[in-house]
Amino acid sequence: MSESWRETVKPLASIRLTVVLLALSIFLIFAGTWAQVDMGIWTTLKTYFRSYLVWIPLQIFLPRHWHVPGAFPYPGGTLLGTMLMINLLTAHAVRFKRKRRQIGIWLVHLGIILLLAGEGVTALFAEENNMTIDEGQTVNYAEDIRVVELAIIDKSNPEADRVIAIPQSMLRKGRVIHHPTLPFDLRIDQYFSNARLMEQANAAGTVMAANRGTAVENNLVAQEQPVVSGVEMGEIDLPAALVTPVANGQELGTWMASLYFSVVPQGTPQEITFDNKAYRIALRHKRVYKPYSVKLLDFKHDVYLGTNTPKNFSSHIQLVDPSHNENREVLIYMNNPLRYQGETFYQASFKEGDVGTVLQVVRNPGWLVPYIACVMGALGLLIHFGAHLLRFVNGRKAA
Amino acid sequence: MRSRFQTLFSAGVLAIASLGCHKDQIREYTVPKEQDRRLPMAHAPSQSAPMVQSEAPAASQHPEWTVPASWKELPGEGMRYATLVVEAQDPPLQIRVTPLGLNARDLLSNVNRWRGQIGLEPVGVDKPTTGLRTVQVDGRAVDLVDLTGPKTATEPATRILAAILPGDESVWFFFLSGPVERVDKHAAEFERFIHSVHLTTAPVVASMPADHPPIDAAPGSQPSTQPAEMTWTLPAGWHEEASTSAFRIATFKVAGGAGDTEIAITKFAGGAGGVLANINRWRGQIGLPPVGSLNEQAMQHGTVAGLPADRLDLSAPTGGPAERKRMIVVTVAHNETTYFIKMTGSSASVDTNTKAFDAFITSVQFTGAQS
Repeated sequence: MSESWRETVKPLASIRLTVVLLALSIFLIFAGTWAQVDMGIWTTLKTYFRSYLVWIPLQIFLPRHWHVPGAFPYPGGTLLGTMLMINLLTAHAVRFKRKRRQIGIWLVHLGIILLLAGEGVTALFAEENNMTIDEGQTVNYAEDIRVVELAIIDKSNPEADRVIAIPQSMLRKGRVIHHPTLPFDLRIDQYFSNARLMEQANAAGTVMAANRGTAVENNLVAQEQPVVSGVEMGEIDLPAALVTPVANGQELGTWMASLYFSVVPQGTPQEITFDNKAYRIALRHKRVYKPYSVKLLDFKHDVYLGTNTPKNFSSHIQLVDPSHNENREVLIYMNNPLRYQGETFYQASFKEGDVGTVLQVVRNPGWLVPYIACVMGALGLLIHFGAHLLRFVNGRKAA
Repeated sequence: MRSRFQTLFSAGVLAIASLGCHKDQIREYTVPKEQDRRLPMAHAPSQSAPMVQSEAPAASQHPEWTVPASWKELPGEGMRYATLVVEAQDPPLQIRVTPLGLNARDLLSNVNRWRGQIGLEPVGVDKPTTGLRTVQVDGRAVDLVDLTGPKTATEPATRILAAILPGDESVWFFFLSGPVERVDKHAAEFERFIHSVHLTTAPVVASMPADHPPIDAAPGSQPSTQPAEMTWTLPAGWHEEASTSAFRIATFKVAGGAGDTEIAITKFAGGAGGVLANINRWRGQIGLPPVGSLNEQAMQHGTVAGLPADRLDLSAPTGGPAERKRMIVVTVAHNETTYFIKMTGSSASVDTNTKAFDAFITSVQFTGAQS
């Protein structure tokens, strides 16, 4: 390593920086814990720990009825983790010597690096979706119930549907979405992250109103609502978007796409007709299609005899994956998930009346990393302090 | 030449920095044809609670019945339409009334699910089983299921009495389960109750619980049909109108000169979207600009039926007494449900009825304990 480069990166290797970063991390965890009084775990994770910068409201540290305004900026978890990683890597390059007696320290630090990298892998690649299946139904997709997508579905082919799924991040007011295989552009006239549908007569303030489709047929408009905190069990946002397809400069009408219509279908699904071809439009939870299918043969909700107290929930499913010559029946129940092709299927919930199941499908390529990191860290500490102990004992003997 | 460390260091920093650069793209794919789901709103999955906030039109067909004097009727929660407490002793013996989609009618799968719950082997289509009867109720074929499970060394035998009533929009399940000695005592009563059930499409106005104490009527007041969770005394001159929404539990009009005054009681699950959002919605309805925080809106704090309640009095910014709009809203929460009691009308008519409204609010009581 050249001297000039060493001098440049030396401040990054400072032990003082380590202490400051650790102190900042401790406070971030403290704030993130308090924030969970008002926010769900996923919102907190995203806002505080998987961000570069976070605005921490003063209110979170105080009783909620005090109504204290104001917030202060603070480095987010991604920034602090990145800085810690850089600090540790640089320290090893600049300060640490590769001595045999320091092997314990090296192992501990390698464990920490793995831990930080593992969180990076989880943040980037882990997926956690739900598979909701009615008894007798076969499903080949899972849904991310925290994210929506605007799906334009061409159903003209009798064999299969062609889907163009526009991600939630693109649904912003005023944005025009162009896709080469769509014969029209989509202009997003309005987007509410959470909305309540109501009859036109009951609405006031800012509402979105369509002139085509399900909302018009049911005389409904959408009124913006604050996004749900995620603290209450079962709360989800019900986003709504006002979409105007535009072809050759001509507006084809304005449709309201609401997640509500996807979760609770209202009559005929709404469609945009263009060039004698119908395109279904739906705002729905983001779907992840699978190369396999799962059929729910039976869902059981066992109760203790003579009571309504749940004893066990189980899903008897048939897993069919032609690409792996797989066709077998599996029983999934609490604490007995199915592990298949890197995914784990947990019994998560069920539909009212025991008519269907909700399986949580989790994929995390980095799931093993924290275990390895912890083993390395423990081994490192054992070696380091074991060596100290040996030296101490030998010293006493010599004396 | 840069050292190996420099290369590794730069690559590491770039890799870490890329954590925040995960970008969504439009996806295009082909999937096998999928069948449409068409469920009326009443069959919404229970895990999606905010849908209850929606003021979208609801399926309206629902059952009415005659409850035996010794039973107690409780309002439903979640997907459950109602609960009828047959025996209150702990654990209570209850009939659960639940509407499900028309595809839930399959008798065999229901019977086998219940058989499984009480330790009986499933039966097949070719294996007729005892304990199944079909009776005519309200012109509809109702399946009556009567199953008794085996007694085990530790648990008493369990008996299930169930009725499956097919409606036009939903299948209604009436389900009673408990130790055989307790259920035996109510078997005949259960069947009589099932025969009293009829489906109606009239507005939802459930009857008072059978054991509810009589309400003292104020002089000149009228009797009123009241929902199971709430009671009140109607002031003289007010009359009840049919409610137009599943979320509106009662609507009253004031007769006479103040005919434009309307009093509505609505309920929403949970926090009903937040206090500030509701205040701004009401402000918008009478032409007032929204406020940025709760501190900017004057509110009185008091109690309704012993529970903390807020009272909001809003008047439109312009117009004379006859045309200027005024609105008084009282908000109270009970058992994770927020109730709005709202009087709207012209400033003159609301002024005239404020005393009656206050008396009405004082008379409101909730049935059932606060959970």
